[in-house]
This record gives sequence, structure tokens and C-alpha cells, in this order.
Amino acid sequence: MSSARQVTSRIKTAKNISKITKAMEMVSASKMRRAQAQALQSRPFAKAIADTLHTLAKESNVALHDLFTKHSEGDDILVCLSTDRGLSGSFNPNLFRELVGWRKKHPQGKIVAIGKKAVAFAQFSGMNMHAQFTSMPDRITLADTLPITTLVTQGYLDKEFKSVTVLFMDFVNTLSQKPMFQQILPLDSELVDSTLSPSAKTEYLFEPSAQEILDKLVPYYIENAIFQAFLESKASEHSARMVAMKNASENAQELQEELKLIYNKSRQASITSELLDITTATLTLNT
Amino acid sequence: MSGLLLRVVSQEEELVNAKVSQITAPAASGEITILPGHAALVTQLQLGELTYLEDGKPNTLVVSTGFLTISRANEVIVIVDTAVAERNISLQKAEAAVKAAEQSIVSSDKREDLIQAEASLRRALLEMKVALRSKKTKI
Repeated sequence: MSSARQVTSRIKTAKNISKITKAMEMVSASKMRRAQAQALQSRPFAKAIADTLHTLAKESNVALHDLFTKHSEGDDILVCLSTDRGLSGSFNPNLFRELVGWRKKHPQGKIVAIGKKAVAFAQFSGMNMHAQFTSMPDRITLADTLPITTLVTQGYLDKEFKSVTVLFMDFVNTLSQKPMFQQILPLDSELVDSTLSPSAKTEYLFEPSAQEILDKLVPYYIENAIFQAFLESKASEHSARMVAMKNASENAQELQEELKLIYNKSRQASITSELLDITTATLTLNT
Repeated sequence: MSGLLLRVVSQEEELVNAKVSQITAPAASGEITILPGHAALVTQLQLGELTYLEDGKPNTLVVSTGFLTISRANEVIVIVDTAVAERNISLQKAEAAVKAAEQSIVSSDKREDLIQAEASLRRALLEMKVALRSKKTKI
């Protein structure tokens, strides 16, 4: 019977798909574990730098620093951290929804697209791209993100950019990641001011001088903020992919069971009809 | 007097989070020693050895450039690019790093590469020095 044969071939297809997705799930799972560990381990470092910067900002007039001062020339820049590969579930769609929202607010804004998916999306929706970076390595190091940091900092200092914001998927846990905007430049001096309480003011000594330390610390802070965004994004990507592949494997498994039921039913039907044929034949012969 | 709370964080991990009684750090303008009750201070660090006394025992870390903050609450936060605890230094690895760095200094002519190689050479040499010294004192 042709339908039974069709069903067997579909069962085979579902089985093959589930094998592939299972393998991809396991690959992502191991990558995810590493990426998550890296992202979580460097969080204290990012926090310590931010704390130090806050301390420093309380004591010296940060508003004088070039990277803190606001200017109105140039464009708004959004650095969008997406993935190079697909099959990562709702990762990219969620990211791009935020991207479109940002675009509506800043019609003149330019995009620095990171990852092939962001490049493709920006081209498809006719966004103004300033630069693109693809094929970032999986095991990301600070040196990999430096070109991006240099690009945005230099552009800001040359008054080519008005503001720089990073859009990335913040890693919450394996099952949930949320898109997040983080303004990198100009540094938010209000955020620093809000933590300033007169009683907490202590007299700090600076060695060599507050200005010199600030000059070193601020670029360091920016480098690290961007690096941290990358780590979070990688952790989110692998988590999202693993969950997506897990769902795909489960669905393939379910499909297999359903098809098997159909196959068994049709087999049973054919047996019953054959038996019926035989009995009617014998009955007619005997009479 | 209460001790100091020392936290050393590098790009990769948090290395130290402990109560200590004394810290000696390589500040940009020379080595400084910090005791409890030190004035609040923010300083730059250069490549060198950071030693702290925990339960009366000295521990050494090899740290690269970074920052050190002392707050009024006797809390010391050290932020560095990289740091290696003395017990984790592998002499063979350090020697290999020295060789690799020397090689790239000879072969490359790009300025950035040279700076990077020089920095890693200095760090590796320092690691070797610390490792050798700790070996001697143990014997």
C-alpha cells in the first residue's frame, strides 16, 4: 500500500532531522557552558571598574573629560551585536525588533552591524550602515573587540558621532535573554551624580593625578563595557540556540510518534481488509 | 585594628577576595605598602609583584597594569588586565612564553606586535623570577 510506504519515508525523515538537531543541541550546550562561565566570571571585573569610575567621578570633575562631554554634531550610532549563524530561535528576531524601534526614534542613526545576520537585516531594511564586523571568533578575547572600541571612541572624539549605544542580548539565564540598550558614549555623568551623597564623600588621594588616572581609566572602562556586551551576547546566543535545538528535537520526536501511529493504523486496516477478502472468498467457495 | 578586605579582579576571574593584614603593590610611582587605616587612594599599577599577608603568611601575585582603589572602609580593590598567583605559575610555560616573545620581537616589524611581545616578555620574565625565588625559599 502506497500510503504506508509514504508514511515510512516520512518517519525516516523525521528521524534524520531529530539526529541532526540533537547533535547541534549538544554542540551548543558545550559552547554555551563555556560562554556562560566566561560571561559570569568577568562580571565582577566589569562591576569593579564601574565602581572605581564612580568613586573617581565623585572626586574630580568628570564633565571636563572629552568622553563625558556631550556635543550635538554627528550621527547617532548603534552597535548591534547579532550572530553569524542562524537557527538560534528567537535571538535575532527579538534583537531586530528593538533595532527597528530604535531606528524609528533615530531616523538619521547609523548602524555598526556585528554578525552576518545583522548585516543582512540592515541591508534588507535599508538601514544606514557605518561599518560591519563579521566572523567574530567563538572564544572571544579583548583583542577581538578592540577594533570596534577604537572605531567608536575615535569617531566620538572626532565629533563624527553624537552618541554611541550598544544593543545586545543580555544573558539572564539559559531560558531567557532580553535585549538591552547600553549607552557607551557620552558616558552618563548623571548616573554618576545620582550616586553622590554628601556623607559618602571621602577625600581620596590620587597617584599620580586624578586627571591622569581618569585618562587611563575611561578608555579602559569603555573597552571593558563593550567586551562585556560581547560576552553576554555570546552566552545568550549559545543558550538560545541550544533551547531552539532542544525544542526542534522534541518536536521531531513527537512527529515520529504521530507518524508511527498513522502507519500502524494503516497497516492494521490493510490486514483487516485482507482478512475480510479471504473470509468472503472462502465463504463463497463453500456455498 | 580590623584588617583590610582585598579583592583582586582580572579580566578573566576574581582571584582574591579575602581579609588580609598588609598589602604591597607596584604603584606607578613606586612600590607602596598598605596597612589597615590607610588613607583613601586611587592609583595606577604597573607590571610587578603584589604581595599580601593573609593569616600571617605572605602570598604573591604577578599582576600587569591596572588600578588600585582604597576606600575608607578598609576595602582595597585591585583591577588588572591579568594576574597569576604564585602557586599557579608554571616555570615551563613562562620559559616558553619568553621564547615565543623573543621570537616575535625578532621576526615582526609591526609596532603594535612589538609592544605586545615586549609586554608579554616582561611579564613572563617576572613570572619566572617569582617562581624561581619561591622554589629556593621552599628548599
